[in-house]
Amino acid sequence: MKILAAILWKEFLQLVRNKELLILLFACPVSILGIVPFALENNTRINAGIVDYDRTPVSRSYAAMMVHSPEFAEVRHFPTIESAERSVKLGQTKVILVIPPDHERKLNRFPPGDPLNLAIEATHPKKAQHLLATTASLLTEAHRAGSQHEVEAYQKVGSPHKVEAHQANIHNLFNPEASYQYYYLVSLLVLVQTIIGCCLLNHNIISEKEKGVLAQFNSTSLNRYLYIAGKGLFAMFVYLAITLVSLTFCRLVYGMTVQGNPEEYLLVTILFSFPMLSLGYLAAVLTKNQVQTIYLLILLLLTMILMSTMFTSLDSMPEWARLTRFFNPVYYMLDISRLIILKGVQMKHFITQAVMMTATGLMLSAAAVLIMRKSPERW
Amino acid sequence: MRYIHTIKHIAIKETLSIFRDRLSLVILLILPPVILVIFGYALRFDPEDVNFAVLDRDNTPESMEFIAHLDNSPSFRFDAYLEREEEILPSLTYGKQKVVVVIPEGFSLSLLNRETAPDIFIDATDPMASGSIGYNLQQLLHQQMEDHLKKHGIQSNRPSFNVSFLFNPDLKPEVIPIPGLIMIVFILISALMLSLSMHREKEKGTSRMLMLTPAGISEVIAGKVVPFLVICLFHITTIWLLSGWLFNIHVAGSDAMFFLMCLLFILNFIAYGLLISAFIRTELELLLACWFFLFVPNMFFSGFLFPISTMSPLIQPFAELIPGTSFMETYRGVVLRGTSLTDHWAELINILLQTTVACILAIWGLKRNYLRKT
Repeated sequence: MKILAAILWKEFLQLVRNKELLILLFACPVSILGIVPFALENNTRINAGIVDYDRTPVSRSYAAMMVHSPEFAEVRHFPTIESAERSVKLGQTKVILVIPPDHERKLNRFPPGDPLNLAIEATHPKKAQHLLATTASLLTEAHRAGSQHEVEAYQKVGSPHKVEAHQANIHNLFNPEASYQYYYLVSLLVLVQTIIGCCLLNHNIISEKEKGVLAQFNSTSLNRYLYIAGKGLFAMFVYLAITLVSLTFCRLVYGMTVQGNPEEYLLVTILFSFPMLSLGYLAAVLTKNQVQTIYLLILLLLTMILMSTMFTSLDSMPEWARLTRFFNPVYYMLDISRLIILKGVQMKHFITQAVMMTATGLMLSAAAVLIMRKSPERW
Repeated sequence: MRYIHTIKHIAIKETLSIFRDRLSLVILLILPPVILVIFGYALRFDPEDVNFAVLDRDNTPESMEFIAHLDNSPSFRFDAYLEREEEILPSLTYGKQKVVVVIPEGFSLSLLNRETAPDIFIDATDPMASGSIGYNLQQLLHQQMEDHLKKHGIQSNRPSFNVSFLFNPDLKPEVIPIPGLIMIVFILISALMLSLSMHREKEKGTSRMLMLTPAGISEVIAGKVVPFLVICLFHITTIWLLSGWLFNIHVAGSDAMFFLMCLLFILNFIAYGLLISAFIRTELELLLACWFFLFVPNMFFSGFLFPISTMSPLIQPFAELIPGTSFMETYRGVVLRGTSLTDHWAELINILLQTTVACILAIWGLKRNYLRKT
């Protein structure tokens, strides 16, 4: 116990003597949590363009509908299709409505006349589809105002009701305002925990290995596993301190509270530190110097982060990519964090994820210990 | 001439040290294609096969047809029937379902007169996915209604549109992640790897030895930059070939413009890499600085994950200045929309200015901190 306390004290002194690192360790997460959520306001307003070859009250009503819609920041009129297309090409306009000549005159004919033309910038296909739905819905409203055709159509079935686009009542649970902030704050918290948890112990071991300090310790009677355990324990304390600072920051600045039990969240955070510290430990054992370890960590961390559903949902991934979650502790941590922080779920409902996360940690640390035993030259 | 000769020798030394570290070399060479290929396929933003549960109060052929219609679409997968309303919340909280569809009584009639509409409960913790799910559901409902009206011989009241999707007519989903992934590759190779190499010289003390040679500070920096620039050029070619071959994304504008654009952005990230290496003391600091000050802002503010227009008005001017934003804009312009570099003069001036300022600061910092002649 005394030896463990001495190792912890040595690590503490080492950290507080490096002021720049200490500041960076706490300033990085806070600055990221302080700035990034401003990127997540989701108040999309795009520029639209109209080429009006009809120039009638009906065609003007389409323009008016678009101008008054909160979806569009600006609605520009273009004299020709070419000039409108040029504007789209330069990224200034995202959607163009082309109203054909005689549109109003042919409006009440049955069957109806020439359709309206929509040209949508589709470099982001998902946004293009949304834009199509929004614009089509707006124009349907405007069309209805000027069209007699639907009344005739519904007189046919004898229905007294106006038939509208068949819409569903959508209820967004757990996040009724569809706010991106809390969702991504949780993701950022896990991102911070992942990077700090993995890099801290890894850098500590590899820098001592490179400087020869570890070799010196090996020639003493100090048990090397105890030494590593002491380093891991200290890294976990720092990691926990950073997590607490980050959580407090989220609470004070964004009012984000843990919907579930905060103690359970803390416990899960400690559990998550295990696979992350183990990964850092394994990378330190596998490599000879800091350059190699950083290269390896980037490869591993980038893969784990991008596959963790931090930036895209699991349902959006292809089947083979979804399978990677079974080996990815970041995925489990994200899943559990969202359940506790956003949904207020209790521990019994995410016990499987917690066990999987711990099992990954066990496997990683077992691999590191095995490699260390079998090839002492790597140590 | 002597200047080029010195740079050549330092570049050879740097190349040898890169080649001697086999593990690093392998990662340096395979990381970019791996990122592009794996994540190019894996990162998709449209949810598919989303599990849904149904509380069917109508129990008519029409309601069953609607469930089958949802189940047959690639976006949704039927998972369970619910019996009571009380089951909705637990199903979304603890179950596998992301959506619960409540079909009201009289749903079959409402397809004609729309007195009652189905209630759809979505787990909206992920707002991006829930937005897509809601949109997909609405589209499927519209479609079912149109089909139903057609069956009854009624012409729909919706106006018809000729829709053309410009610059990506097939709505290829790969065009969303690819520019962002290329940006990540550039950050990793040109900023992180170079700054690591610079920092190594400082930590091992070989920077002092370099300063004892006749090589000047600018020659040392240029000599160290050249091999990374060559690696980056190799990767631009790899990216260009892979994008065309695997993802069928061909440069709509000029290929030369594409290479020139990539080169400019690589130089920018190189300048940032030099700047970071000039002011940090340990490799952990370097790693943290690269992750938090290069990787995270470029991921979140560049328009890769969220469009700039959706950001807070306070942050938009900052986001516009980020090199990643300029890269994304220029990439989408040159590669997808076929614009020329002159159409992106504002982005290019921004990048050139930032590169110059970062270079000046980096050289000053490197001179002050470790490449001292005196």
